[in-house]
Amino acid sequence: MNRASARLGRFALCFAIFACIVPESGSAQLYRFGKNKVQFDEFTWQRLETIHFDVYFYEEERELAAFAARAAETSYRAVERQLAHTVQRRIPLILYSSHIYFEQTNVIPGMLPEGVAGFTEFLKGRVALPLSGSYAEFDRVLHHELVHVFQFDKIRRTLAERGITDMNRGPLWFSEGLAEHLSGTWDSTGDMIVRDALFAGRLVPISRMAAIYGSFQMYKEGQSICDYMAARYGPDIFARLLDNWWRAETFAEIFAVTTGEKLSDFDEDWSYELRKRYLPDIETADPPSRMAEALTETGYNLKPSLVPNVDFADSTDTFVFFRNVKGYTGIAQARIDGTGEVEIVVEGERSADFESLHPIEASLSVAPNGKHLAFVGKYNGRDRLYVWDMETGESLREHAYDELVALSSPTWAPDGQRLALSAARRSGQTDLFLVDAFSGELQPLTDDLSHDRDPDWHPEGEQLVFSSDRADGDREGEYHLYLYDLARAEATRLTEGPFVDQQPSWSPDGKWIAFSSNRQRMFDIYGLRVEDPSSATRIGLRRFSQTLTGVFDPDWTRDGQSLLVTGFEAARFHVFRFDLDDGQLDDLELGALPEQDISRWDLQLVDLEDDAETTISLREYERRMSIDVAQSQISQDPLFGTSGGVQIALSDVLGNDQYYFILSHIAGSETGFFDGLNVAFGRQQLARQLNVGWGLFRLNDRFTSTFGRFVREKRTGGYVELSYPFNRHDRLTTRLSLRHADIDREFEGRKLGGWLVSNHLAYTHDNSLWIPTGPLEGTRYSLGIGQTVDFKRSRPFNTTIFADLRHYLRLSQRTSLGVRYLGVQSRGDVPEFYALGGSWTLRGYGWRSLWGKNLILANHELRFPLLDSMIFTFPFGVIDFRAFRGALFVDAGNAWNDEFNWRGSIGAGTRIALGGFFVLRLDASRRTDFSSIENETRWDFFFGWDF
Amino acid sequence: MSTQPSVRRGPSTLLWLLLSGLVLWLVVGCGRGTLYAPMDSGRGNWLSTGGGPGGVAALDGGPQPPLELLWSQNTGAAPVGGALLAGPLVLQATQSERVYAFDLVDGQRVGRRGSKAAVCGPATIAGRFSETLVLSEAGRKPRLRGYDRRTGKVAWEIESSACVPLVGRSDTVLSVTDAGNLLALASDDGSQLWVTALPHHPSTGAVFADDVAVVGGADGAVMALNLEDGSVRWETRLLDGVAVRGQPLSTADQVFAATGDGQIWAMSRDGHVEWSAGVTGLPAQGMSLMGEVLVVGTSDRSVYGLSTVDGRQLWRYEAGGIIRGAPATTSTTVYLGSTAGYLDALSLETGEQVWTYELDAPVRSSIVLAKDLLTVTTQVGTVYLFAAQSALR
Repeated sequence: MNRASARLGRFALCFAIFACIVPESGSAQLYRFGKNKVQFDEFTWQRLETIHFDVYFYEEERELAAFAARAAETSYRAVERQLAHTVQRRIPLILYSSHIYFEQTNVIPGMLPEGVAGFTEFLKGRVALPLSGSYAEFDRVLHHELVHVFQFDKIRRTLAERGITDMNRGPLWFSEGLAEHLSGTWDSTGDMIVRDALFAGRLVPISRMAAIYGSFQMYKEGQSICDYMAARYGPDIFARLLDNWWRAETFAEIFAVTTGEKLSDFDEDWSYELRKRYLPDIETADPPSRMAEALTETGYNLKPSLVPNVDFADSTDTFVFFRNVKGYTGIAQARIDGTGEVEIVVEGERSADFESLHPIEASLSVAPNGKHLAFVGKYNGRDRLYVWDMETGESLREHAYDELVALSSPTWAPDGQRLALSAARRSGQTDLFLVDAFSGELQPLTDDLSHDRDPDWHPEGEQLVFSSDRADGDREGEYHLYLYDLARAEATRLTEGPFVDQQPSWSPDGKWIAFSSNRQRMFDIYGLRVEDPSSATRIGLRRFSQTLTGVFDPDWTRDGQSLLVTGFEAARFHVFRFDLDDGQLDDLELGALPEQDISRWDLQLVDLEDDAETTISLREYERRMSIDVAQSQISQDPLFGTSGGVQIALSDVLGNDQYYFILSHIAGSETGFFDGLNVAFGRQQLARQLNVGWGLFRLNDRFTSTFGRFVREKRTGGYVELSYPFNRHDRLTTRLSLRHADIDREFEGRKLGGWLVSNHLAYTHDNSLWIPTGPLEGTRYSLGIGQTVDFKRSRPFNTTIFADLRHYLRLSQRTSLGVRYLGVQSRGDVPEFYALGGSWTLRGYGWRSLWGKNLILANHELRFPLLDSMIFTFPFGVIDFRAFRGALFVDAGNAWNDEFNWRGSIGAGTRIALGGFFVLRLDASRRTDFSSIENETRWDFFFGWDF
Repeated sequence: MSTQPSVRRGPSTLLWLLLSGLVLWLVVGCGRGTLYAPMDSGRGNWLSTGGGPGGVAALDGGPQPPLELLWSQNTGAAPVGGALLAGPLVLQATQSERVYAFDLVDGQRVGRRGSKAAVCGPATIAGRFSETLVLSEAGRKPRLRGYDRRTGKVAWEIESSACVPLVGRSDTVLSVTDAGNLLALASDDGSQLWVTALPHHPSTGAVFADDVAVVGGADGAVMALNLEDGSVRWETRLLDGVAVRGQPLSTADQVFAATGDGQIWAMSRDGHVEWSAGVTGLPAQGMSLMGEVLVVGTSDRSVYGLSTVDGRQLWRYEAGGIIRGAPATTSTTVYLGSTAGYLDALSLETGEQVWTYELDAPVRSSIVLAKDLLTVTTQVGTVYLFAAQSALR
């Protein structure tokens, strides 16, 4: 799960209260950047009550709900037993039949990356997770999330019963490691990560775990640590640690009072134990770079696929692969001899067309003519199959299917007309399909609950080999290879055993199937010899590679003597060419096929209408609102007296319907009680692509917009806001408000009043790529217009237009040039006034010290890394500051009414990411009129991201 | 001549009888025939460890179901261990740093004493007349404090950090400290009788076993120390790398212990392993025993009846929730509380449920028996006192 997202959610929710409910002043309503979470699909939700869960699902995923109901109860009992704790409340479990649907959830406001397999949200204890195709994996993730539910419920209760209100959830490596430990056994992936970290000298001790906070390595190291804890102190150690949670403030102290040992000593022993276990392996195995030639060097590179070279005059073949060097995943092409430059074929994740290329789940395939590339890309909440002309760099065909949500692994048939692919139906069921590449006609090949994936064609085009979990007898996540004969429409099982056999690739002569498998612990390449694919009666198996870490995604070179593979090494994926040794393709003794009488594991689906065993009852979804945030504050000011207020946010369990309520009072000496009362109510409906918000307010305070001047105003009215996200990057927002206002424009000594109507329209785009201190690459802009009218007197107050363009030009891996051009103008009888000055706008000038009804601002900032990590070791612990960066900048602009003149500054600054939302910015600048530079250095200090 | 002494002895004898009666009255309380005289044998005795999560609660005879609720009182906070029955009082330590005293007869709250810091582990009653309530208190300066249960005043205190259950008897209080020591204190003034650095880091509190104290270790060892001087009499390693879980239990012939992997172990009184048996889930913080039946609750929502002779499973009962505290046994009945919020009575012989009572919240502390009485405290702090209907008649 992604705790960072959950925390983001809470913060964002608090922020949203202010951002959404308090209407900005008149037409000065501007904009907010950020990417969009788009609800492309509407669901009719239902609720399934089991003994301990409220399972929320939609009609298309009835089978998933029927599975989840029993799986959740089974996991509940298991975790209850493991942690000796009972969760007394009902647990909301929200199901999505596809990760694409899951990404649309409003349970938390943050964006969900594809790597998030599920999450537990702590405000209401909700668990949300998608089906990735594999029910076994779904079961494991569900168990993982329930460990979090139990873990934090036990901590919360233990602390609450002791009267401790400060909820210390403990280190993330422990909570995730425990969830991994209790939800599964140590597997090949864990071996790969930890073994690689050990051999690459990147194993992070417990004392410095912050250095890999939230990473997959942290998850797996955490699991390894918890495995070792259980082996050293017994399986009840975790129950005992959680029982003692109240006894100390730090995990190290809790550990010490529970075990009688120092965590630092344990840390050393764990590290030593890993070395003892893994170091001997180097005698028999090598990292990928020692056994194959690396074809890529930087970034992440995976899923190589040979480009069939029809021009045999050129003896050097090429391959295509997924490549992510600067944060965006694209498709690249390179030569298999490792020479020449890497060329980008498709730039992904920068626009709505290729919002995601699914580099982990999907693969690439080039047609026999060497020109047509087939790949899958996410577009507006659904995957599309693209047929791409590699010569022209344009899309030839784009196929999307109503009944299919997620597509993966398209592979060309030898005829260059058809494609086989794996696709998830709306129910989440993942099957194999044939597609006519040019007409898009779809033909299902399989139709069952097993997870069928990675199809590959025999050179003759009569059979397919694919990987499936259909014979996973014990729900352990086993995958085996199957041969699908198109004429007979039958699947023959080729491999067996407690392994993951995946990503098969048929050799050019059709004699061998290379595939990746963890048959001997690590994922290695194996060769399967099939005597006669048409009848498939005898097979033989040979191990091709022996790696320390893991190799995947084999694809044969044209001569059939080498394999292009993805190898994992030094925490990176790279493409390697693995040349087979003499004799590895020699004939081998063939044996009988494995048992064909496949025992599919029983999903034990419950009867949704009536199942006595699990006490199931089916209910319609009811929007029960419950509190997300409730907080109050009171303050005393010698000048303004006492003020205070309360804020409450409520939402339904799906987060689709949100209410905000604010009640506060400013007891200014010049105001009476009711005069100083602020009440606001707002509602946001997010279930559909068109987001609707409305609210009512009665406020008396000083207001400002993003760049505006403060104005004291008493206002009573309401607003309606519509926001239509076209895709992840673009949206149109409009807002209409009607209010009765008494305005005191202190800065110009005017008092105004009347019934004001404000409307506002803005178009916003954001595809920026962020690092902890702010944007690094991409573009953001917002264009808009707003108008305020005193409609009773038919008096136009003002009209405001604005444009804000920000572009981040990537100069190198971690260096970029950020520019911002901002212009705002307000016209009319009562124009808005805008202010400049300070760390976020015009540096070197006082905070909001320049103002006027016109505003121009230009920022140019060179952003570069200074230090990757700054570690301070204190007696009480280690603090590791990440992303210590520098900036050189030139600012120019002004805010004016009548006469414009440029003001500017030049300077330098530093930024330190303090974790989460806090970025410490310090800028030193000197003012300039662009003919001379002042001698005085001015300092701007601020917490916040770069523009 | 012969009569004078008898005449002189008359008032003396009468005075002695009156005083004895008064003392007995003070000790055992009065009314309704439900009173008891606390025993201090320390073995199979509700008092010696009563209140702890590992409280050994077995009473030959004891209340037979159906039970009738005499009273219930809420302390408003989760308990630390089960209730302590001490003279006319029912004492309950809570996680809110307070100890409550209720009148045994009518449940009226007769006292509330704020401890100076969080009560860290289950308390105990010690002293010849059960006059001392001993609490382990956490905080910056962790302390063991002996309170006069009649006045609530601090009788003695020493610096010590201990969160496992304390155990007391007439003259001695045993405390296993966080630092890994076994501390023997005089119950009347808290003076240290002896202290021994345990050879294995402890994971349980101590229990009295005639002339030894038995302690479980975090590394799977069980240690027996002479009560005379704290010297180690024997130690047995049950398992490597698995802690002893919950309070051990001792009889005249055997010592029982559970380990965190769900194994129950029987040892002879000299520490030789006689048998081990597996149960599902994590064993509760204490076991109970009557005759040849060892009763073990687990986090698998199960209660097991095991033969003390060979560890054979005699029966298994599935409760509605997990079992955290020790069950209690009478000659015919097993009482248990679970997180399902029920007090269940099972047949000791068959494990079948014979009676049940719905409580107001889950139970995670131990059941305590006394003569015809039974107390159980729920996690919201409600102390229940039940009596056998037969006794009421």
